[in-house]
Amino acid sequence: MKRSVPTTPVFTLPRRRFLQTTALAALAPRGWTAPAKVPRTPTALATCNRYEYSTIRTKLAAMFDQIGGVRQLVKNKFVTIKVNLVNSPVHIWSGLPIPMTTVTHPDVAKAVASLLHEYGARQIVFCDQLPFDGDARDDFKRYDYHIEDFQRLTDGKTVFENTRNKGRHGAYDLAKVPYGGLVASAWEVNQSYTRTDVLVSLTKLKSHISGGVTLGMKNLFGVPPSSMYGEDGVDEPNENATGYRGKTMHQSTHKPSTSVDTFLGTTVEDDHGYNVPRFIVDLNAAFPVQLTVIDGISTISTAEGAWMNNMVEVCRPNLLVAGLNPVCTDAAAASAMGFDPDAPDETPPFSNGTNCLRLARELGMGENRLENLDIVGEPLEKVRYTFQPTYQR
Amino acid sequence: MNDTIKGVSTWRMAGGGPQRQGLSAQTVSFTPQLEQRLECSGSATSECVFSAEGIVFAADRAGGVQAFQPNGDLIWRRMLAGGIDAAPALDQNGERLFVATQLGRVHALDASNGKTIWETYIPARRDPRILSDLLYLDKADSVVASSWSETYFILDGASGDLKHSGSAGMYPRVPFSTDSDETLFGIRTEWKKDGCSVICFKSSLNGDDELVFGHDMLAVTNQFSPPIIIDDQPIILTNEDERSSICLEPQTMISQNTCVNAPLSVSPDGKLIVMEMNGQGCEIKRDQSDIRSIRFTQVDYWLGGAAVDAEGTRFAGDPHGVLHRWSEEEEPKILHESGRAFETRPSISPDGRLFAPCADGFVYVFA
Repeated sequence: MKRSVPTTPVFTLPRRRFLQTTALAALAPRGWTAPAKVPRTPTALATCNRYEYSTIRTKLAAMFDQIGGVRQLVKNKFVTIKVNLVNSPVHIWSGLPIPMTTVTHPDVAKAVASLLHEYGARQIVFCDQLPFDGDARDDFKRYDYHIEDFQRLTDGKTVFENTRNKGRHGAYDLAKVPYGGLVASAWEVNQSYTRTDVLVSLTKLKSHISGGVTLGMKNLFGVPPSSMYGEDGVDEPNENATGYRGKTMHQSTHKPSTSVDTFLGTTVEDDHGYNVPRFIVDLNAAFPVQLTVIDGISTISTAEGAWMNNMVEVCRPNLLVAGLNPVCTDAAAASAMGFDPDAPDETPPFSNGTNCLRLARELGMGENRLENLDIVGEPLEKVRYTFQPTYQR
Repeated sequence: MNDTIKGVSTWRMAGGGPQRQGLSAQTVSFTPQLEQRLECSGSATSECVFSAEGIVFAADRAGGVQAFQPNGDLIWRRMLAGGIDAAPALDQNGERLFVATQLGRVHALDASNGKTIWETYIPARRDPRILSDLLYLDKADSVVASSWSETYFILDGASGDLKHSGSAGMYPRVPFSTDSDETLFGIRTEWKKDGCSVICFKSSLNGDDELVFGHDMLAVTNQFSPPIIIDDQPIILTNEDERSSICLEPQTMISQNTCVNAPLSVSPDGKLIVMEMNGQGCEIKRDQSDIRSIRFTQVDYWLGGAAVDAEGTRFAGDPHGVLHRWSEEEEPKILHESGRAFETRPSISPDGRLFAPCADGFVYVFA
């Protein structure tokens, strides 16, 4: 039994006009033609040796100036920041709090919030779906995100939202994939991701066993709510769900319990390396990210989380990355990790499947080839930190 | 038990020698200055090794292997397929350099020119990375490596042929060590019905493994530190959940309130030097009569262990790019700030200089 949810969201903010504009090309991939000119914007790279709010803020301010346009982007706008806090209850791993290894560090988040507030953002909503069912402020606190710190820095304009369900909103919105989708034609999500002017992806610099790298684009994997896409929400919608999206968006053995059937049946059962990159691209087409910030100061190599246990280890790139186009930004970040962002499928770092960056470029979403990237700030050769490759599944 | 422990005269593998003590027989200047930087091909995260003549060998994560003259001039550079995290090992004559890659290959290179003598592939079920610092056995002319096939391999130094293999457990990143008779000591983590167990085992080159001692755990986290061998006895360090234990002998364990990812080191007077994931350090006398906390300011955690010189001066680099020095009498002082992370232990050359590999792709040399 499907719930009744709005399939045509009531658009009230400029971002939705942008979504509608891009939706003009909402044809099935078969009939869809990628733009002749692939979008290309600068990506800023910087080294940063420690988690220290004021230092990070100074660095990011310079980076935002280098890439240009951030002030204008957020002035008088509602901003949603999809922060990478991951669907895991683990807080300590290898003796370190999880912001040192797996999730975006709160000092980076505070610096971003403070800068966007200074630039005139009207409201800043931090979102992710977290595997907890309490008050969102308490849920975020488990990752050392304390609302009072953010409120102080933004004059009370910050909101935390756990988007595992519809949350403080009365309903879900359905966001369509402009080109019709590779594996999903639309996504039914918490309205924080649609009823906003600006979407920011604030994430961690990591490798990913299925996606090769997990950066700004992969961060959107946390947008589809557990209530319909989670392990405990697939048989029927469940507003209390907190589960992970393994069955729906990794193994692809189950369809989500959305109000309309949006999965196209083009996934390959149990082939994460095929499915995950395509879901990443479809998500990024449906939810265009206008600013990506990547925390690469302290992280892990080889795979994406502490739950991979013996396969991962702590590493210290001491990097920050920021850019406007998510494909360009992720490609520059992948290169800073020592990888070829245009590497063929099934070669490192995309050892287990498809290169989602190339896929995104072929769909006209942004440039991923290093020779065509515009990198500003510190030179790539100087900041590069060579990651270990992802292992073969 | 000897009163004074003598370090290695030539640092030929990680930890200096097969006993992995991190202790050199040379003395580094007490206030060393940055002399030069040796350029590698990618982030340098494994210890440098040396020939008796002071030729420096440095490997990096881009797959580069470099040999430098003692004055820093590049002798040769070889690019291998696959990055290198495991510290290379040099034979006793300084003729063959053994290197292992993340793609699962072990290479024996001619140390004079970098050309391949032999190379072999270590079979892996799913992940070919070799991350364990290589061990070279002089008497047996053998190389020991382990991979994520959860197996350790003993290879013939002359041909690369497999001599023996055995279970390395679920954390095959932990390097092997040997005593003076070249009995191998390893650490193996195994799942059990009610948790798991970390055991220290010893093995002859072609015999069965023998349990030295074991430690049952409810929850295990990554293991990194090899056994260090003092007076032919192994001392092991294990991580359990968010704590660690140092097992001096089967019945003697010291519990730490934090994990440890860096290898242990030992001072000439027999103190164990532990660099902790809480950003601090501690030193423990083997009879536990003296436990000293080492306070570092503004260090998030330690990935690399300490190198100790003949006078007992300790050197370690942190992930913020800061190189520290301290001693029995002196609290830590900052020697240098490089700007990028030090993720491995510095090593000490036969002429008493300090070599610190850095994530920025350079080896920092202090004299």
